[in-house]
Amino acid sequence: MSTRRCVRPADTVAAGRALAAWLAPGDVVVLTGPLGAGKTVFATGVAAALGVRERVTSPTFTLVRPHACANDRGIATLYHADLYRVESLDEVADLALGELVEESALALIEWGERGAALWGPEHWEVRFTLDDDEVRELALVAPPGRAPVGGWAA
Amino acid sequence: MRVLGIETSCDETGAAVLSSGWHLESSVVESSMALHRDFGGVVPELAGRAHVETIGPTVQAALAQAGLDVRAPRLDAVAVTTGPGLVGSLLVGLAAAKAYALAWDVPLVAVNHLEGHLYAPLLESPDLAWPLLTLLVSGGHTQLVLVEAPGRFSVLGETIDDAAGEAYDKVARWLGLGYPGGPPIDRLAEGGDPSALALPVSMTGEGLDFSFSGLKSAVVRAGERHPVAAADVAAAFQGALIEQLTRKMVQALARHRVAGVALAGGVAANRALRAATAAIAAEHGIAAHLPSPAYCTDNGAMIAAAGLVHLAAGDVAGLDVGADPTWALGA
Repeated sequence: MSTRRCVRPADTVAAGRALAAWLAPGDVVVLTGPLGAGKTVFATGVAAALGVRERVTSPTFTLVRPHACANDRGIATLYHADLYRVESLDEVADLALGELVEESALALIEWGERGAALWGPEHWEVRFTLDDDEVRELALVAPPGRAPVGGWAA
Repeated sequence: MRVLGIETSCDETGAAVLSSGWHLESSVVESSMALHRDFGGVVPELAGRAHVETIGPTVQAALAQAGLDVRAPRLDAVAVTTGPGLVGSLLVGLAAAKAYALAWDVPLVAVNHLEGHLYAPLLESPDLAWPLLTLLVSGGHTQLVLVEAPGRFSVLGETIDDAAGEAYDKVARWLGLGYPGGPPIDRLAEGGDPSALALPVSMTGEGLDFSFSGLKSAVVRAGERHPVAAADVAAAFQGALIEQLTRKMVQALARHRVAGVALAGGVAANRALRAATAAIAAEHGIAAHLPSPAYCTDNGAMIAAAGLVHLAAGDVAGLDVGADPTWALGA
């Protein structure tokens, strides 16, 4: 597990950009941590690195929002999901998030721990924690065999 | 001209008949809100299934209330929301609208849901003076729009993170209140002391974009550090949120000459926001258009209004038109 310390929102965006470099089509990235920890801010960094042109805002209301990507890495769609309002595993299964992640797509799932049993061992996880001074620590858990060489420290 | 408007972008099934001159002949809305309350919000799969059951009866009721023959209504077009919204919900309304258009041999008009909201004031004030500065606030959207006239508008600012209604829902959930979060916070705030909690003032620059994510985080963080009465949290949160909304409205009014200000979207039913908007209009000597709650929330009448605008411009769709869940206003 490697970690990054984020003092300003721009640091959290940069962490998202850095992670994006390691992602491949079909990947699922689960973001966990308390309300206001910077998960959506992190998502804007991932989206920017994948060539999403439109503004990335919170997907809480619609649960899943697709974004078209422009990159040379075979990732055509970023599915930005948010399970904040979801309470049971059955409801997550109803959303069929697993089916969204095709060969040319990638899923970024906020509050993803609510569907933990559905992701399998192959997913990425970013754990957000927050101290009393509003400094965020982001811990990255990579799928087996895919830990970034040299970690993702800034 | 007479248009049937169909709306199914989220959890309301709406159908309405509107004729030239913004004359509303009927408007029927079926909500699956109760179905979603247990989940703390709309569940796309459930919403889609609910629309399948309600779309037929809702359209028939709208036609009957307008005094039209349900089998062969005298209509000039069928207007339907094709985006933005939940794709499963949009497709139900769109499929129904195509079938009606084909069966009655009338044109189909594809309507942007957000543009529909801009015309809500016409339903109660058909002779209103343009241009209007409209604040569109709902669970999924927060935008400040300059509407020159029906069919001509530009987005001046929008949220860069959470929608205003979403911030309400998240804070309400954190306080253990129900969904949707707006009404219980509005009620609770009345007995609260907004100064009990110091919250940040966001988006202080000249730009007209909004941000509510920091406010939401600050409320939760402050509440975790030291206990604050729920009524005080509600009052401080609502005060800060409305302060930002109205500050941007005032900034926009300094730059654009308009005949009135208007509210649209579900959050437009909020009493404190309505009072603040009326006060701004009075200070500027312009009209305040605060639609009845039935026309603030999603409905078929506003879609029919947008349908009349586009039909008059000859802007009709083919029967092959698809739903666009992310259709931005003005795109």
